[in-house]
Amino acid sequence: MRDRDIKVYRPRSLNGLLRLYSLDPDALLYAGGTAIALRAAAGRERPFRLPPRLIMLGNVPELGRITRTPRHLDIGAGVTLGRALSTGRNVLPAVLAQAIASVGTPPVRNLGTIGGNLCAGREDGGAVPSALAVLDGQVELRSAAGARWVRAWLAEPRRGEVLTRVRIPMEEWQAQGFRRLASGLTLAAAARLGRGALETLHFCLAGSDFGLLRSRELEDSLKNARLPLAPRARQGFLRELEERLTIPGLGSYARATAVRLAGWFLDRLDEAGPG
Amino acid sequence: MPSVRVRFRVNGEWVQAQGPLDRRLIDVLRQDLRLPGPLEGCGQGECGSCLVLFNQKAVNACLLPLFAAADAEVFTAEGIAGARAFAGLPGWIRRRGLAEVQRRCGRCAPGMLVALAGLYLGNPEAEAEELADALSGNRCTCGTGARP
Ligand SMILES: Cc1cc2nc3c(=O)[nH]c(=O)nc-3n(C[C@H](O)[C@H](O)[C@H](O)COP(=O)(O)OP(=O)(O)OC[C@H]3O[C@@H](n4cnc5c(N)ncnc54)[C@H](O)[C@@H]3O)c2cc1C
Ligand code: FES
Repeated sequence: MRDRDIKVYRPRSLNGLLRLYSLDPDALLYAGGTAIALRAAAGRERPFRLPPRLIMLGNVPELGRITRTPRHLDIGAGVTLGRALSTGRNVLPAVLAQAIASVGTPPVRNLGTIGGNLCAGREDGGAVPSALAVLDGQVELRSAAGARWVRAWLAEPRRGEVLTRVRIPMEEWQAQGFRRLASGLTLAAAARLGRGALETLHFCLAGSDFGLLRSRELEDSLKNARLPLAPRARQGFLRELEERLTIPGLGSYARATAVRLAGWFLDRLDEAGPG
Repeated sequence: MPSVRVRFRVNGEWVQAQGPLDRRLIDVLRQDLRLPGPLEGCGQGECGSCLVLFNQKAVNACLLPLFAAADAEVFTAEGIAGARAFAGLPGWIRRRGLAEVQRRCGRCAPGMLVALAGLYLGNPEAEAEELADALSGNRCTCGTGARP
């Protein structure tokens, strides 16, 4: 590689970034660089395997903003996971805060960004995407040609697109739960309760073997169920979940563990419910 | 022929460094600047031996390519020990019952000092749980380390 082939762009505005990226869509977007470094380590490349043209996202102020309106919370894609946790401590829904806190270690979270996390793939089981899935989070993808919003857990930027922000509806959840096991198997869930019943359940499982599983049909099967849940309702839900997890490549132990995690959240609902 | 050339501040002094695009910050600190504080352990962000303060946050120098350090302010453990901004740090650490961090075998102590310095700057009122979390990215490999 010759010196003049190497280019590290450092755009200072979103418009500048989008313009640059449209001119050079093969350049690598570089946010915190932690997933890029991890990928290199997995491939036993030391130190990193970097293409000759990089676009640094760290100086783009629009990507570093956190804004809140009564209806939603917007987190810029370039906000580090550490900053999202500390700034949003009283604002972030608990399920998302716990998901973010489960990523890496504090120093890794001081570098890694939320946008990088959503664009990095799901090798770890998808903690943050699963939390965003239960919160109905969306992401904005922008290119020089325009912008579009997609569900946060399906964020796959097309060529020339940049993930610019994550939007989370500000809703009240009376019960939230997040668990991530060493195997990477993850459960994220949130529920609205009212008058001793379960009004709404959002429920997502994630694992490296099966990606993300969220089923409206399954969630609706418990809609308006009285709390504590009747044994039939509970068993029906868990049985249905187990069937949906009958996926090639997912072993019976992992399946049983996922069902146990789901049971853990249903227990929490029972505790939260009647009061 | 070097490929990138970058200026940044280390322990209060401007420095210039150069190297291939994927040269790591830890290598520049140890090899060019002869700073022994950041140690190489796992080399992939897991052990915390290489921590430095990077724009006031504790980060893994093994994960940072040199080009990402342009214009940054970096402090290593030795710089923290000598800087006025951190004059209150030893007392702060002692009051939290963590003085033993500095008496370890030396392998993880610099990284732990950096992690605590980052917390001291960002959240000096940190409670026990936050202290434990701040040190959760530092691995003690000799086994002498009690944790908060
Ligand atoms: C020790 C260690 C432990 C880790 N543990 C976890 C873990 O538990 N869970 C987990 O999920 N991850 C983990 N990671 C991976 C990583 O730290 C996180 O996913 C992090 O949030 C990635 O963000 P980043 O800013 O560093 O992304 P980068 O590495 O900068 O980028 C990742 C990818 O996303 C693209 N990209 C970045 N930002 C954008 C954007 N705004 N628009 C479009 N594309 C973009 C980049 O081009 C690149 O392909 C770990 C990493 C390390 C080193
Ligand atoms: S050497 Fe950097 S974290 Fe282990």
